[in-house]
Amino acid sequence: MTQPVLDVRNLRKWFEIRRGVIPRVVGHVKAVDDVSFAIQPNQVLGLAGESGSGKTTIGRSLLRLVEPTAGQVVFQGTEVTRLDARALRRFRRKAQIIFQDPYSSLDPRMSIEEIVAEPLRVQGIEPDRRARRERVAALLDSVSLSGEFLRRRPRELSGGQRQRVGIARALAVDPELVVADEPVASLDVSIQAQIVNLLQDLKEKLGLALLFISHDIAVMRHVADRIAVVYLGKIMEIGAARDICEAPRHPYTEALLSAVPNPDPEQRRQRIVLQGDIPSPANPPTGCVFRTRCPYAIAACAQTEPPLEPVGAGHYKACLRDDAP
Amino acid sequence: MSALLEVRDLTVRFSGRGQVVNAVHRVSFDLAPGETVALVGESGCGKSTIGLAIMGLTGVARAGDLTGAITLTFKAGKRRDLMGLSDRAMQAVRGNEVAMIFQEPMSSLNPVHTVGWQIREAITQHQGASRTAADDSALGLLKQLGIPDAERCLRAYPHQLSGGMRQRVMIAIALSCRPSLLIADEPTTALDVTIQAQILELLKRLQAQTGMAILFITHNFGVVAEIAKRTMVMYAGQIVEAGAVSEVFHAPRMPYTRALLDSLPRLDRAAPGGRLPAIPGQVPSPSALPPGCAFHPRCRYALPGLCDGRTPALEMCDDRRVVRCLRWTEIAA
Repeated sequence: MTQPVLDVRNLRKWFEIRRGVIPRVVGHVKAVDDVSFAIQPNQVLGLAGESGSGKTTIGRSLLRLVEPTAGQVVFQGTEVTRLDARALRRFRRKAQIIFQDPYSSLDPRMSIEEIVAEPLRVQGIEPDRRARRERVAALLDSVSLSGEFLRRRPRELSGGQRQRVGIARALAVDPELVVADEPVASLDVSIQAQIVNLLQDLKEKLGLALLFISHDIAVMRHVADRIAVVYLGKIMEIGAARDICEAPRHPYTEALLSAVPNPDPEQRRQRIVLQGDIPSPANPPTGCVFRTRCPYAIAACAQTEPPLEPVGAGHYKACLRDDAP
Repeated sequence: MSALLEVRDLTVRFSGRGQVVNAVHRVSFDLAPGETVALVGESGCGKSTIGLAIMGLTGVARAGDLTGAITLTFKAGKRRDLMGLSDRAMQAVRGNEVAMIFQEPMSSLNPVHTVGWQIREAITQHQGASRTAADDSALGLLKQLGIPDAERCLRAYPHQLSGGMRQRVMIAIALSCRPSLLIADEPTTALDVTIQAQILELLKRLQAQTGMAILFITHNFGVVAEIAKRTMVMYAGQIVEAGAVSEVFHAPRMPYTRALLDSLPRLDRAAPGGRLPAIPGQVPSPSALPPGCAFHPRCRYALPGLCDGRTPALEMCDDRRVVRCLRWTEIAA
């Protein structure tokens, strides 16, 4: 097996809850709790889960946009969590992020050229202005934006065009790992497919490793090679995208899939409607975190926290019950 | 049975700064009592504006910018064109006859009042009920909506509730005066899929209990198939296809409907080669619509000299379906 681009071991991010006039720590929000996974070169790992499941925090802690509380993030053999500021900047030349909201993630005062050139400037790549402009034009071309966009401002662009600019900016430094945090969630249906296809093309052309974060598991099925399903900061199930979508083994994955509305009115499936809301990560349930909404829960689920155990080739689930679903 | 709502040639124009935006252009449709119809389309297609026009909330005041007729059969039996009503008369229609829920429940609720206060306000304002009577019906409503610990929910402020719970509160307020028509504008878009499933089930159950009609506005074809029997697809301010959900989704006639359905990522089938069949280009700005058919620059069936010159009319097909395309007979063949 080839060496993974990224190897995450027991990652944890707890946010402190402070209260009082002289603030002191009264508890923790366990946003990410003991998460491990790896991404190979030229592979897309999808991170699926509802809002509040910790998927965005996982993506940001990998790049140290938030500091992990514990655990290791190994990128191409280097331990990222221990890098100093200079080494961190070198690391970010290899690891980039695409944000969800193409409206708030582009500086409205900068031209598109300045936005895409900024990482090059920060990293000291291509100091010559003319060469830099050519490189920016080539980058825009790779996301199907013509040279006339160089001088435009973000407000003149549509949502889909802005997201292309965000992708071009992430690719400017030739990264080997890209975290895409809900890159299509704010786009119109007819534009979503364009951006999904673009990401696929770029992955194949550039051999990128991609962490694709989304709440939309149907989009993920088309983009990801592997999918990790997260709930309350923990991985419930991880495996090949096809296995996860066609033969889920964890009750939460099963419920999540069955909740996706199907546009084919002739295919009415048995719907599992989960009761209640996702519990607060400041006060997660004991044992299995999903047990409070799980249709298969038994008394033992409150006692022991199930570990991720293999259920097939490269397929793991964290559930005490072998017979569910 | 006669229609509950008849919309005829509804046109909404927003004008200002020398620009005229045709948000909705000559839209006509009927809604039967107890029926759910889904209005589906991408952002900027005018679907929300139609909902606001029925509520009399477009804010368009200039003569000629809001035209057509919106005829509603009231609960008492009389029929009125809502466009001709005074502000005061419209005030009585909102809530009692027609109610509306929106995408983001947090911005529709008042953050400084409790949930109980807000439901009570709706009931006392629209029905002139006493405080105690209103409190009782508020509690009954929340229980009917299956909200656990309803007493506590009444005392809570909106920020203390989850997104799904806030949307339930909005539904409670909307249903508090027993309207015969509920306009639901993307009510589940801001919610997680598991919560979306809960809200859709709830709306279906409440509809079965109360017999209200629902105009469901959404961009999500999956949600349309879950909730509605009949659908109207909009593009650039016009209805481009309408009919039974099962037929429209199974054999779309308008190239836009077909392309949109093809481009959806589906759980039950993988796209060939991992590529989704995307629609090229982007939704045109309503202030600069292309000549001829508004969809022709993105349409793979568009014929130069035909689709870029002639504006297609809404044509009736054999099966109670309407479609706006100059070439639909050729494409269907």
